[in-house]
Amino acid sequence: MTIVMLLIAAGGLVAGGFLVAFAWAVHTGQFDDTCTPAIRVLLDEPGSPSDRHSEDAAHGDDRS
Amino acid sequence: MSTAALDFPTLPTPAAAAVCRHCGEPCEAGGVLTARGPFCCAGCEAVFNVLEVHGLSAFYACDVLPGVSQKRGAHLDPGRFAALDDPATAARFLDGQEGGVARVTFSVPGMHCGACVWLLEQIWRVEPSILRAEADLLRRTVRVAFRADRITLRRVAEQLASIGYEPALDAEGAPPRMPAARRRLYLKLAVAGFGAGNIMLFSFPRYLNGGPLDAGFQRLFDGLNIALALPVLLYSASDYFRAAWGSLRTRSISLDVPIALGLTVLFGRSVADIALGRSEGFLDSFTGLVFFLLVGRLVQQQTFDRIAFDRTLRSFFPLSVRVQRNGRIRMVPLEQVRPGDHVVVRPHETLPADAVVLDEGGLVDYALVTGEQEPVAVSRGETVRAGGRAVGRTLQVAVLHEVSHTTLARLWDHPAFAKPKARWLTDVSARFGAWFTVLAVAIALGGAVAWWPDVDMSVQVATAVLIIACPCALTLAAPVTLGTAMGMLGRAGLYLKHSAIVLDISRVDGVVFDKTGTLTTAAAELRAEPVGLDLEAWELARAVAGESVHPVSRAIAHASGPSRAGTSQVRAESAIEVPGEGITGMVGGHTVRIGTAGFAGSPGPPPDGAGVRAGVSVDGRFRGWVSVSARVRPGLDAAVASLSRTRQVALASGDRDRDAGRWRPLFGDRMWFRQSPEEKLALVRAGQAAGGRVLMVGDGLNDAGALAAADVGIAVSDETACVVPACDAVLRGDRVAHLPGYLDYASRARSVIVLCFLISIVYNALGLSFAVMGLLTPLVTAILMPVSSLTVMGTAAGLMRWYARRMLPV
Amino acid sequence: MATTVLETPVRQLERPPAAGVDTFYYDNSIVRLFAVATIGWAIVAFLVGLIVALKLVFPDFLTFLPHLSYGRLRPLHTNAAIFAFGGNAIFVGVYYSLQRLCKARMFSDRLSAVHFWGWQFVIVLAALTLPFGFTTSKEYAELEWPIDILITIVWVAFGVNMMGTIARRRERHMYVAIWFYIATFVTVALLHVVNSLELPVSLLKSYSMYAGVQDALVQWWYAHNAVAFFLTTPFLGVMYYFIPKAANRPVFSYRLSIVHFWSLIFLYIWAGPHHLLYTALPDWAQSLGMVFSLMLIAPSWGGMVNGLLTLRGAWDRVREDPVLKFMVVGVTAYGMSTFEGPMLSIKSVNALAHYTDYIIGHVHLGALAWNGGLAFAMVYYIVPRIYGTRLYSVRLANVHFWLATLGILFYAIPLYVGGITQSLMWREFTPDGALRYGNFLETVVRLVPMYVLRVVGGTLFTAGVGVAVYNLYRTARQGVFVPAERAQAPALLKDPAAAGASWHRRLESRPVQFAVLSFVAVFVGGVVEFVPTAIVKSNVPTISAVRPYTPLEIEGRDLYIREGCVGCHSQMVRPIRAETERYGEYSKAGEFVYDRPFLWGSKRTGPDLHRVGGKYPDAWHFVHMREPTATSPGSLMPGYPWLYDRPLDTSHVEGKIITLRRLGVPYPEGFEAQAAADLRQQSARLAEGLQKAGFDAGADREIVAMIAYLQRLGTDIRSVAAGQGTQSTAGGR
Repeated sequence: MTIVMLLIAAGGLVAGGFLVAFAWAVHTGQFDDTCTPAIRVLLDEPGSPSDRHSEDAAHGDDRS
Repeated sequence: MSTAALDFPTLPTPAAAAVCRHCGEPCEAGGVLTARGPFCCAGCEAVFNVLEVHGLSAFYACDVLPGVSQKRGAHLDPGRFAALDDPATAARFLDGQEGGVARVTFSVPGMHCGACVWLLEQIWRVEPSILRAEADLLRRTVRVAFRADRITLRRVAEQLASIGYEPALDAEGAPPRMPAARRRLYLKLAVAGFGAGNIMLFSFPRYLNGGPLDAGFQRLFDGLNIALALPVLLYSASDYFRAAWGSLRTRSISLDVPIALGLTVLFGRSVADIALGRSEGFLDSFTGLVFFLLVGRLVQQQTFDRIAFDRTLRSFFPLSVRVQRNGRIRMVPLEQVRPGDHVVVRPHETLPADAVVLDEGGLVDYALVTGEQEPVAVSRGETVRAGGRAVGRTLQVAVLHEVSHTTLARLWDHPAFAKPKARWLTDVSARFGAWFTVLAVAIALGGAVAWWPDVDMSVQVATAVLIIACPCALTLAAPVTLGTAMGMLGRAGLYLKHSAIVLDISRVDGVVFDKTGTLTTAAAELRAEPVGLDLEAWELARAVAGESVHPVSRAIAHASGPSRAGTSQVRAESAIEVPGEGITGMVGGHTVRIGTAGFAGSPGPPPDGAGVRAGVSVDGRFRGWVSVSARVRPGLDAAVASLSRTRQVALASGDRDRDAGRWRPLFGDRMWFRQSPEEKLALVRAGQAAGGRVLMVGDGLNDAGALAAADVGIAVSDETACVVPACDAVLRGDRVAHLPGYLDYASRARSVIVLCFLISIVYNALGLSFAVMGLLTPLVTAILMPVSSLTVMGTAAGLMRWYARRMLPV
Repeated sequence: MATTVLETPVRQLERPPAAGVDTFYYDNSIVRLFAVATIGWAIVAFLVGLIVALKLVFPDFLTFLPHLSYGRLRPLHTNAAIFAFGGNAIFVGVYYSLQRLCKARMFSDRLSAVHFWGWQFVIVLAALTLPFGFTTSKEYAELEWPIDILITIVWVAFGVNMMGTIARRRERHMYVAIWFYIATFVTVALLHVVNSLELPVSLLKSYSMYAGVQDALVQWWYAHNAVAFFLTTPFLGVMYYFIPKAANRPVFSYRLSIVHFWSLIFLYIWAGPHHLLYTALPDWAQSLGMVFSLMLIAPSWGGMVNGLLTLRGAWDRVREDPVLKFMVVGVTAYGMSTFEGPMLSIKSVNALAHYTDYIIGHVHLGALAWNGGLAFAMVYYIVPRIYGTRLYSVRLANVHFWLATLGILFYAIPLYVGGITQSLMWREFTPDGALRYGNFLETVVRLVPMYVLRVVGGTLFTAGVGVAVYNLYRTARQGVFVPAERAQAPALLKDPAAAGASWHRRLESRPVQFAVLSFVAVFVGGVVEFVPTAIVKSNVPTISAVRPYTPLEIEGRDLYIREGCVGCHSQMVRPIRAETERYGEYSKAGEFVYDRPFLWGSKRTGPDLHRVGGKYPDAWHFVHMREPTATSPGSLMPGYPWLYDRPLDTSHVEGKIITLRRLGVPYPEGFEAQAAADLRQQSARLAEGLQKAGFDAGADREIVAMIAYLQRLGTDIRSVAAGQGTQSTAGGR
């Protein structure tokens, strides 16, 4: 069953890699603002085709 | 099947009253009608045009009438951002400058929805030299990056204002983004979680196998467990070790010491067990423990952030003052006022520092700072103290010494206001913590000795005791309970200065009410109208009343009443308040008196009818009456009645006892009228002398002294929550009727803290006894420890929220 | 591809963009290409699925060609559905949303083209090789080694293209969907490489690097994660982008989506063993698989709740908007199947459901509703937008929705019922302790009605796609394609404040390269250190009696693989009384040491074959393989007449022996020289036996090799028990 070692190495590699990615994300401030990105996604460029189809207004209700 | 679903509903057609196309507020008299629809004010129309020109009209498709009304800001003077021109003030807002690109964070209270975020982030279309903007809806801030060489910070602020979002240059500045410490905490939490999760999965095989696996795998999994636990020990738990080491070095024993001790013992024991092959060690519970401790710390920090964030404290001191240098008056920031500078202080403005009066003198009102009511006359050469407010005439003063914002802020923590408050509950943790740790170590050693012949058991007992002994209740109970209570009270409209006040409120047994502004609605809602008074006298009366802060005169000043068309608002040169009588002032050559019948020289008594009658005389000749009627706050009778059942209530008012009949059923004979601030102060002192704990409820302006002296001083205010130095808490005007609810709620807080202590004592007693008897493997103890602190935190916060929902208008 | 820039009329005052502001164009043509591919391959995959389903009802349907037999078409259906339809759907979602989330055009148009045409070429190669029997038999990884290499190259092209776009983004915050896309790329790359380690024998034949139990664990570690990281993580990313956009509501809790992602990715080492419960996997590994799967409910349901609650306040629009309808059903089905999965991984439940058609129902609930639903919703959302028009007919889209939903119900429910019936019939004992349904065929016949209903479900679902094709075609016709959608955004500036520690600054400025570098470095280290240990001597308990296969049996095994027998037959008798009673001694880990690749299988439409060796005489097999209904009336097994008239290709026997020895099978030195002779000798003896029984069988026919392999299955261990020598005299065993 030494294959388990290979699987652990592979899985550990991915998980460790993402821990490094998390450290990078925290330091570059990806998690400073956890409210506005969810709303900014809805806001499209003025005049872009997808903007013409934006249904009724984005009710980004006051979250605080 | 319904018709085409993708067409979005048309915008609501404005109802009968025309609705502003920008912000949706009804358009009254000041409305502007243009080809492109109605606007409630010129400001809104201006913003609408700016957006149109720069191709940002999609803003109105983002939300239903998303604009921020500019009506309030209509009369703001354009020079309000002048302070930003000065590098020192600007530095406080700038985040940094690199290669010609500067970065600033402004707090923008007007931001409220997705459309605002979109518009703020499109500002580079309006001003080309602004490179980029990022909005944060939760903190209501916007980070703007701009070419420092092509545009000044002031211009940036003005551009923001031009698209309808006024940056607030509040002295405190915008709440910081994620502080670096918080980021490190998130990372520590992630490392601990990563370790805990994976170590658990590497330990499961041995549990499921009911014994060690074959050598190859067991060695592999043990090795991986230790490898994963090391970063948790060295990085995630480093705060606890550093704090413990710090407190040990200063000979005091803080409550991090037992935690640090427990962690090292758990880790050491596990590594020893693994090395000797005795068991698989307890690294999964060790990392789990660190994970839960960090989660607890994060939750605690976030609750206190939110509490601080809710309370809106406006500071009273100006950013910059008018300094006259070589004949020209310039706005200079506070920090740059030099001794000897010639400062011009206009009426209602605050003296930035102790100074010497240069011109022939005038009136200074220290109500804000020391609580004395009547303005003090000062003449040339006299010194005036910082915090005083000029009344009546503009004052020219020479500053005596260096001044900075902090010196003024320190004024509030002036010893005169620091009340000797007994904080017996919150201090107990510090004293008791040290004693508790010593006891825990003693029991651990005792247990080890008791089991001595059997080395294995004694080690297990010792470690179990050290881990299980958790003084969590002592450290967590008080801060969490009081913190949540303060938060809940804040949400219900009672803003406390700091959380210990909840305890003081809970121990109050006497309540003294001020009348005007507390039992009755504040000046803003007073209705004043002339009774048999000719127009000219009414104009003059209103001008003089504008100079005084007394609720009655403020009511007169703000009265809408008939005004002679075309006359601009005349400013009175001076107005002096005669306590208990009325005010007199000079307007356009006429001396005007407003006040009691005698003071205004009226022939007969005032006509009867509800409300206060004030006589008006011009140049000595009585011209008529002004009736000022105030409404009693709704629900107040019931509130006072329920308070009187459990506590003594009294009324102390500065007015004459004309409507005493109205309050007699509530206060019985404990009513005092025509009380000067000093007499109110004496009344409070008398109550305290009789051994009572007195709660003073006033409007904070004219009875600041009594508020300061009382055990708990609550200032009632209707506009923004402005904390007057002398009081402990500010109560929103429309929530006065809930006062009994607040008092009961505060007493609940006390019982919750006691309950938490009981839980902790029972938990520790049981835990230690089991541990000493050797029944607890460290695994169970390691699970119990976070469980106990989480239960204490849970009960404290949970109960306070539950009570709040039942007892407070949350 | 020259992209014509169509200037959408800008209503406002056209001002020259300021210094730091870039004007760029989203690439919609690559999105359209992938969308066309998605719908195209959807039709192919579903039609092959229909054919395969029909074959289970009418065994002799389309049997005029060996290339259309059930064994060879099933892998074509699974690969087409997962990689062709699912894959292209993912890329439509990624290429459309990534550009808009990063406010940047794709990193390089050439890489996008390489990725698109490379991926379609891989699918065409699969369609060419699988029907011809070139398969590695490892489920969802059946493609032979040259195509595996091509897949790796195309996948890396996609990764570089994505990471490049992220590095050049103009939006500082990386929305959670982007993290899901990164996780998809990184993890699938690793899974594919680790699971495709195989040593080639010839251009289209290779043997797996691992054997037996180890091969099983790696395969199912790959297969589960293929579902998790190819059919769930990217679709979660799509969900987090398209549901808020379609409902015009911010996601329910953005903080929950962040916690949901990071808790999932940190613990993902341990997926997979729950596919091998009660098999020869060590007990603690099985229990660990169970515990881990139960833990998976939390992040999965975190995702579902976040998706569904995003629609609070917009539920009225779900009534009319087909895009939202598809998504709501999809996310709900995601919740159902991620609850069903952990339940199925509980050992006692698994004992009941493993190898039955219940699993097929579970797979298709997830695939049709979650992957299918989200893919269709996404296409209905995107096509009108890139054509600058509205959907041609919302009514038709609703018709498609109801056809799809009914199709799913008609597919999943019959198979749930069928699966339970199957399993209970296998295990039922009469009071006196004998199997009530001794003959496996009795269960197969009982299931035919369920297979009919499944065909109805499949037909409905495919019909739905037909409606979609018409609707989308008319939408495209009425609109004007916008190949490059204009957008403006200020460039992202270096953020001095967030630089952190100075020594970190150099790495900070190039985060993506930093992540890739660390990945490559650590991976190379891992591979160099671990792989040798895995290959050399796996310490699976070897049973002395188990000997390597003879050359003829190896050829027979490769025929077994070629015909895809593993699609219906398993070779793993579980230690459960009903199975030992029906098949014989339960399978031990040691018996599979020389099985490269392992053939445990995952579905028992036909009986388990691990103890079939010696159970029936050669003659029975000779008759049965040509005409199964002759020996077992009502059987759903198709005939294999071409095995009787085609000579056995023995040109690679030597190469196979050399490769197998290199992989650790103890063939003596020089054995490959006499392997061909040994093969001829054994086949001659077998053919002579058949002629003695009255059947005219040429010694060189393929059927002889097949029979030799079938008769060898599971006999080694019995010989030890019976104590007599093994019949075959092949040397070196």
